[in-house]
Amino acid sequence: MALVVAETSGRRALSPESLRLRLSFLALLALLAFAALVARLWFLQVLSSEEFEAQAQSNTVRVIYESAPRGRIFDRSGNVLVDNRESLVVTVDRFTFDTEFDEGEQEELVLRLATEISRAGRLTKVFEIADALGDPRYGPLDAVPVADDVTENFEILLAERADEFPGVGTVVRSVRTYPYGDLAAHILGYVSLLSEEQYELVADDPKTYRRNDEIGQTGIEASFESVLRGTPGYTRLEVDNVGDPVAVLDQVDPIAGADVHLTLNIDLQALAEKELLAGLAEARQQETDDPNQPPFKAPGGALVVLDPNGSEVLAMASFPTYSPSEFVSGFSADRWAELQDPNNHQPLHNRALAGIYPPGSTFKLFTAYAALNSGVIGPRGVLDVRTLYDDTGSYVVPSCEEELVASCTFKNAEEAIYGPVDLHRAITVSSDVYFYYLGDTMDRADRFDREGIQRSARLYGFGAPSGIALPGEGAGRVPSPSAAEAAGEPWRTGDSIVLAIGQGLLGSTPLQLANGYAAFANGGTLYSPKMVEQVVNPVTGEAVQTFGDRVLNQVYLPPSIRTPILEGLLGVTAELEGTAHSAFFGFPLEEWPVAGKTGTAEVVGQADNSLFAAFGPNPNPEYVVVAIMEESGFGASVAAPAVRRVLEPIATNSVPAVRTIDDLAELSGPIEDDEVSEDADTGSAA
Amino acid sequence: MAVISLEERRLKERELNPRSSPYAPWMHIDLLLVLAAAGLAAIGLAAIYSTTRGRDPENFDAFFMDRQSLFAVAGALLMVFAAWFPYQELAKFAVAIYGVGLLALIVVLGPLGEEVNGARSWFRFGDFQLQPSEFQKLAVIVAVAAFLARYEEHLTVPRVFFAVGIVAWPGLLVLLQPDVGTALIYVFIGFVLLLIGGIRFRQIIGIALIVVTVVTLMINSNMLEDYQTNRLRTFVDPTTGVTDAGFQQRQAQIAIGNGGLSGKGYGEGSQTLSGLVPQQHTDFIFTVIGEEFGFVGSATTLGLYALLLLRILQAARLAKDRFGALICSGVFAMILFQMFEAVGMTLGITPITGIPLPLVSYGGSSAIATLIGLGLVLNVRMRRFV
Repeated sequence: MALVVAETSGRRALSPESLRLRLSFLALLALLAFAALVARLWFLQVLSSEEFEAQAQSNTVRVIYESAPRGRIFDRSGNVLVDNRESLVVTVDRFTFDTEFDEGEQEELVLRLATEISRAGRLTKVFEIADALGDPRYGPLDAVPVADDVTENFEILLAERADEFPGVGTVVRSVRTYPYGDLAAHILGYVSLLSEEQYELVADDPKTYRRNDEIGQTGIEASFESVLRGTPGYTRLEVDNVGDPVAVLDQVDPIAGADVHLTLNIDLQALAEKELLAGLAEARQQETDDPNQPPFKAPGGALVVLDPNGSEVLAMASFPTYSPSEFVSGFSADRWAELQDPNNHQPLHNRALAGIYPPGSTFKLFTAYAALNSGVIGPRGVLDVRTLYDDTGSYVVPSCEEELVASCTFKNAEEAIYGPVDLHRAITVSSDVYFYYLGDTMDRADRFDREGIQRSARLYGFGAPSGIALPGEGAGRVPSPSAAEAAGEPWRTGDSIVLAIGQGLLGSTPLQLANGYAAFANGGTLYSPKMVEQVVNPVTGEAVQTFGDRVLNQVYLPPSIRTPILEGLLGVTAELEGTAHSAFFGFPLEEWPVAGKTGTAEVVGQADNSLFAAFGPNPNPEYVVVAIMEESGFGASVAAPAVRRVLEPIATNSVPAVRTIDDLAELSGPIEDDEVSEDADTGSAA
Repeated sequence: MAVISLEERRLKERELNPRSSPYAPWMHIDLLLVLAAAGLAAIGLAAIYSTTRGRDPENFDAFFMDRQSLFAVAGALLMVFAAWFPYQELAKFAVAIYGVGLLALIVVLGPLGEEVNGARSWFRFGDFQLQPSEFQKLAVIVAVAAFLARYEEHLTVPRVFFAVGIVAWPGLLVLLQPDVGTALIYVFIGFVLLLIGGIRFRQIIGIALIVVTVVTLMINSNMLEDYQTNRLRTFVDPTTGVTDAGFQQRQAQIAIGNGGLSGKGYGEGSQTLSGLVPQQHTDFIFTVIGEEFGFVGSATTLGLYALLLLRILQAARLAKDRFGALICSGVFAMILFQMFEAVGMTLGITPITGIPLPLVSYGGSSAIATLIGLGLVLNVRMRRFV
């Protein structure tokens, strides 16, 4: 019996009372939980809220950023073109400045600061500091830089009299320095503070940018920004209400940016810049024959030196130029406007790759190629290579209808009459009439759909960006019937005729022209011009990225086409009647044969642009040089001599080695940038 | 004249009275519970917006609030569904639901799962993430309730162990993610269900001894991730707070203390504005309420939870059968534990774990699972006469 009772009591059904009891236990549990939470809330929010409020006010996580050094830029022989140096910067803590001083005290502090910084050797105006303190790029807790390149004397003064300058401190900032001064300014580019729009663009960049960071704005500094920029490090500190660190939350070390090695040869660059400048100076000395003609203003120009085997850019000069070091400490709005003003011919504009110029007669190479390649010149064409064509000084379009042709008579420049010319002589003496005839013939031949010359031009890279690793490259223009039609203009035979001599709407950048010549010089391979050889890890010295040759196009260029054109181009410098014969008089042409072509491109309402394109030594060219000088007159008289003066030291292996400004400073004490460039001027004029 | 017995007449009256008719369950919907849930969700949306909208008044970012609204609407629809489906039928599907959930918890540990903040707890579907452990809580409640409802008497030891097993398998899988916080919810749900299911006091003592032993071993072994042991250690001694966990707990308390009696005002909390409290829109959402609405707002929020829990408990008491009572108790346990832990850790009285504040924290899986749970509670209550 007892057993049975025990068993039934063990399996006793749960009574509703038991369930209710157990639910009440749950309610009790919940009540305890709520009691605990409310009690704690009461303690935190009512009893000790003052203490927590004070903590919240002073509670800040301070992040100390450590910027990473930017990568350096080298030339092909390992000379440093762009380096970093340290600049001592005075900062003012905005929080202290805004909260601890009234307006009068603020003014007084700024005045004292300007006085002391100036007295220590760096002239600083009161409004410069006041402006910097008002800069909206800095947050209310930031230390705002108010003066840079301050002398160490100020740092010593600050250390001794810190209590007189509350919130004032110094930091060392890494800034760009240019050992070769303004050389290659357009290629290297410059860095300056991020604009608001740029900040938006790089907001998600893994190499975190802050609002007061610098960014490459042009040139290699811009196109290799992602490589050159280092990854900043930071330390996150928890600080108490007096600003003392309580704990280090985390710390990340900065990583230096990678170095960029260019294909540029700094000695050649110096030579190119010097001779471009000298050529323009000479152009301005010329007198116009006719006072009604526009004067030779020679405001700007470009000179490009390529290695045709791979289109490595050895030198690329553009004038007028600027000083990248000007951007280091920032400059006034007036100076910026000056640099942008068209009246100053836009010194920031890199003419070598962004300037669009009609190539003039230098383009005849490509017209000749079109004619030879299509058979217009050839055994079954209208002329054979050796066939003499009578240049009477003008070309009259047969069965001419003015409407369809634009004009019926096209004359040689300077009303010259060359008499019987074959292809070789037509190039050597630069007979326009011969090429007018080719242009007219190709325009009339149905099988070209009037684009025979255009196709040839595009094969050599005209009308499309070359793809060089620099920003702002121009595409140029190749006019064509289809493009004209799209613009609602008729394409007339006359357009083809002037295109044959590189005039009309045709436009190319100096770099494109040089690259087209390079393709011809190397036997038909059109490369994308190479500016950067490799990217190198600055710590290990290992190449991170190496750039090989990039072939854009393979042009069909058998000896039967190349040789006749090349002979004509060689005649330009070597033969007595060659257009650049006098410019190359005395040049060692036997050892170092130069093929070239002059160009005198007409621009409406201005003096002619002077052009010269050349390559050598033939038959295996290693250098292509193209010079374009605005409003400077004949190609033969200005551009050709300048190119010769670049080629001659190369041919005789005597390119002068340039010293860096730093070297010069070591030799003869401090030297101003201006003096160096003046030296270059006088040297070239001599 | 037909003679109608008293019993029959009572039945007839019950049917005719809409307040007690078994054929009109929707007449018995618990509006107070719905209102409390809606109030909490509204407070949650306001707090989420405050902490995620950014600092640019011209260009406030409503991304998180919009998404949470979407989750709330989806959750409300599923809540209606959970209330509509006669809950007694649910017992038939308990094993299937539990099995699918268990499978999901296994799969999420594999390459299909996504790791966030060190825990592999999520499936990703395009822009949305699904956390199976949130839904498995409901499956566990239904499964344990269905099992325990079969017995009308006190539990025997084998049955206790069987019930513990139902809870333990998903619990261990969640622990492997590793997500200790959610695993602890499972433990508490299991405890409450056993309690209501008829466990004996001495059995409770036995289980407690086992749990304490296992947990002690776990903390001392390498099973916990570093950050989890850090959190526990920091809780034990907050002054060693060089770690992130100490920082988080301190910042959370400063935010709440900074709120004071009446709060700093909506969108005015300095801790919230400066983003000093990590994970503020999810697990630490209560700090926004504490800082910006003060003691008044915090207490109101807790009051809404109290109301919600009270109504759930009442639903359990009124339930027609043990299955219903157990379901309600399970949901009660789930919400009570999460609320206590998620609020408590911001106040510094419980250790930091990754547990969302039900209905208030940002997060779709949690919001939807909680609302489905409430739907089941409504279901039980409104079918109490059927």
